[in-house]
Amino acid sequence: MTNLDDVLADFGLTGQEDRVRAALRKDTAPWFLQPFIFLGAMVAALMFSAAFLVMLDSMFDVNRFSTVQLSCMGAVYLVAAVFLNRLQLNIYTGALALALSLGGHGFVMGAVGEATKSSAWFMTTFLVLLVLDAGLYFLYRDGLHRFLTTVLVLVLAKLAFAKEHLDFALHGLVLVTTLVGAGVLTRDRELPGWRPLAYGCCTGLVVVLFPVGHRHDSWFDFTRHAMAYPWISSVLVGIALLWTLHWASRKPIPPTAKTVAVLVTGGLAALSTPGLAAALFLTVLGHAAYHARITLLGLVSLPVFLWKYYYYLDLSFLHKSGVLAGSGVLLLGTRWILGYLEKKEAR
Amino acid sequence: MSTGKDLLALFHAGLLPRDGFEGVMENLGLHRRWSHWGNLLLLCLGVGLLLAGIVFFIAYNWLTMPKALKLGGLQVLTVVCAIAAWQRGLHVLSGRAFLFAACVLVGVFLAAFGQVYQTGADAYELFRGWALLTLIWVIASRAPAHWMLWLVVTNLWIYLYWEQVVAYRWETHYSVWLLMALVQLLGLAGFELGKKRDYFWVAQTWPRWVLVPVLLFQLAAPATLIIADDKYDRPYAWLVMLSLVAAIVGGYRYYRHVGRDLFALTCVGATIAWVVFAYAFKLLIDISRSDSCFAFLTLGILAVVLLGGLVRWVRRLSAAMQTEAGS
Repeated sequence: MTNLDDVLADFGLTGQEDRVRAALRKDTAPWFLQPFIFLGAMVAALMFSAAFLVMLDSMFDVNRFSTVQLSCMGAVYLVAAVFLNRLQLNIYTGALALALSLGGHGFVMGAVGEATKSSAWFMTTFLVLLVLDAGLYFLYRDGLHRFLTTVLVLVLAKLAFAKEHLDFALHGLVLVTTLVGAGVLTRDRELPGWRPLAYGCCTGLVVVLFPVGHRHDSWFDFTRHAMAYPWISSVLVGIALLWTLHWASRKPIPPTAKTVAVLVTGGLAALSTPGLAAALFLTVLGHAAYHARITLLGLVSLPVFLWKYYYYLDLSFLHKSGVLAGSGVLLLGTRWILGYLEKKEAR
Repeated sequence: MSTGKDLLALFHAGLLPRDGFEGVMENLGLHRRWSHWGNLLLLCLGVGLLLAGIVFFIAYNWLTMPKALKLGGLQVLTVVCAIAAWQRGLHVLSGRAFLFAACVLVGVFLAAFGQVYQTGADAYELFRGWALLTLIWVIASRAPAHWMLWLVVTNLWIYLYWEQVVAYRWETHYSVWLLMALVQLLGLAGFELGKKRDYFWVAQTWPRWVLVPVLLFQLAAPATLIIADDKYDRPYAWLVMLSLVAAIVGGYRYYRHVGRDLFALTCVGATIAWVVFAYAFKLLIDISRSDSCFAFLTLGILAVVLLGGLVRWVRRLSAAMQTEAGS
C-alpha cells in the first residue's frame, strides 16, 4: 500500500507543506450547496440591479438607456465583481461577484446592441467580449468565471461567423479549441490557471459543432447553412483524436484497439460527422489525461451527435431502421472481435 | 480520503509530474482501464442503436400491423420479461431490470390498447390502470427504482384526474397540491421504513434525494402563491401553510437525528429561506410599491443574509454531524 507521505517524499514535496495543504484542502460546504448559493446570489444581484435601475430612473427619468449609460453600468458591475473576487472573503461573496459579473456582461452586450445595427451585433459583441474577457481572465481569478466567459466568447464567435457566412473561420474555431484543449490538458505538468480555458475550449468545441437552427422559424436559422465542407472539421478533429490515442498509448493499449481506432476515425471523417469525432476525441482525451469532467462532456455529447447524424439522414423509416440496427450490430461485433483478439494476445 | 484522490488533487494542482503521477497510480491499481470502458461504451452504443433500429422498424410498420400483432406482441414481450425476471431471480440486478422492463411495458400496452380501441376514455384511466396493475410487481421487486416509477405513474394519475374530472385550475386549488404532497410523503415514509427494515435488496439513498425536494416543492409552491395573492381565505390555504411548517419541522427532526442526511437538511433550510424571502418580497412591494429603490435594496440585502445564513447553518450541521459520527 502506497503511503501519501512516502509519495510526497519521492517527489521532493516535503518542504512544500503549504502548497500541498492548499491542494488537499476540502471545502467544508458540500457540493450540493453550490447551486443554492449561486441561485441566491443571482436573486440578490437581480434585486440590487432593480434598485439601481429604479434609482437611475427616478434621478434621470430614463425611457431608454443609451450606449454610454449601459456601458457605465456594465463597468460598475464588472469592477464590483473584480473587487469582491479579489477580497476572497467567503463563498457567498464569491457567488455574488460571479452574479455581478454576469450582469455586467449583460449590460455590455446591451450597450453594443444600442450602438450597432442588429445585423452586426453578433460580430461586434464577440470582438468586444473577446478583448474584455481576455483582460478579465487575469483580473478575475476564479475558475468558474474563466470557464463561463470562455464558453460565452466561443458561443458568440460561432454565431458571429455563421451570421457573416465565414465558414472557414468556423473550421478555424474548431482547430483552435481542439489545439488549446489538447495542448493544455496533456502537458507534463498541469497548469491550474489555464485549465478553465482548456475546459471552456472543450465545451466550446461541442457548442461550435452543436446542431442549432434546423427549423425555419428558429432565431438561429442562419446557422443552418453554417459549417460548409464539414469534412474539414472531421479531418481536423480526427487528427486530434489519432494524436490523443498515440499520446495515450505511452501506456500500453492493445495494437488491435489502435487499428480499430484508426479505422473508426477514418470512417467518421468519411461520413463528415465532426460532432461524433469531437465527442470521441473528448472522451479519449479526458480519460487519458485524468480529467473526468471532459470524459463526461464527451460521453454526454456522444448520443446528441449520434441522434443528429441519424435524424438528418435522408432515408425512410424502414431504411433508417436498417442503418441503425446495422450500426448496432457492427459495434457489438467490433466489441466481440476486440475481446477475442485481446484474449488471444494475452495468451 | 483515499490516497488516489489526494494524488489526483496534487497532480491537478501542478505539484506532481504526469509520468510520476501515472506510475504511482498504476502501483495503486488505479490506472486507466481502456479495455473495460471501451468495452462498456461499445456495448451501450451497440445495444442502444440496435434497439433504436427495432423501434424505427415497428414505427414504420405500425399502421399496417394487425391489431392482434400490436397488442399480442406487447403482451408476449411483457410476459417474457416477467418470466425472465422470475428465472433470474429478483436478488440480482438483471432480474430486477427485466421486471422494470415488464412494468414499463404494461404502460406501453395500455397506451397501445387505447390507441387501437379508441373508446374516448380519459388519459388518467391509463395511468390508473398502469399503477394498479403493476402494484404487486413493484411490491415484490423490493427495488427503489420500481417504486419511483410507480410513484411517477401515480402522481400523473392524480394530476390528470384533477385536470380532467375535477377540473379546477391547478394553481389556485390547493387541495390537489396537498394530495400530491401526501402521496410523496407516504412514498418517502415507505422508503425510510423499508430502508430501516432491510426491505430493499440494495440499500440506496437516491430516492430520498428526489422525494424530499419534490415534497417540499409541492408545499412551498402553493404557499408562495398564497403569500403572493393574499389568498389566506381560500379553502385549504391554512392547511397548506400548516403542512409546510409540519414538513419543515418534521423533516429537520428526522434528518438531523435519525436519517442524518445533509442534503435533505439543506433542502429544508433552502425552503425556509425561500418562504421568508417570498413573504418579505410581498410585504415590501405592497408597502412601498414596485418603483421603490429601498424595497429592492432591502430585498437584495435580505437575499444575501438568508443565503449566508443557509451556508453557515449547513456548514455547522456538517461539522456537528461529522463529530457525532466520529464519536
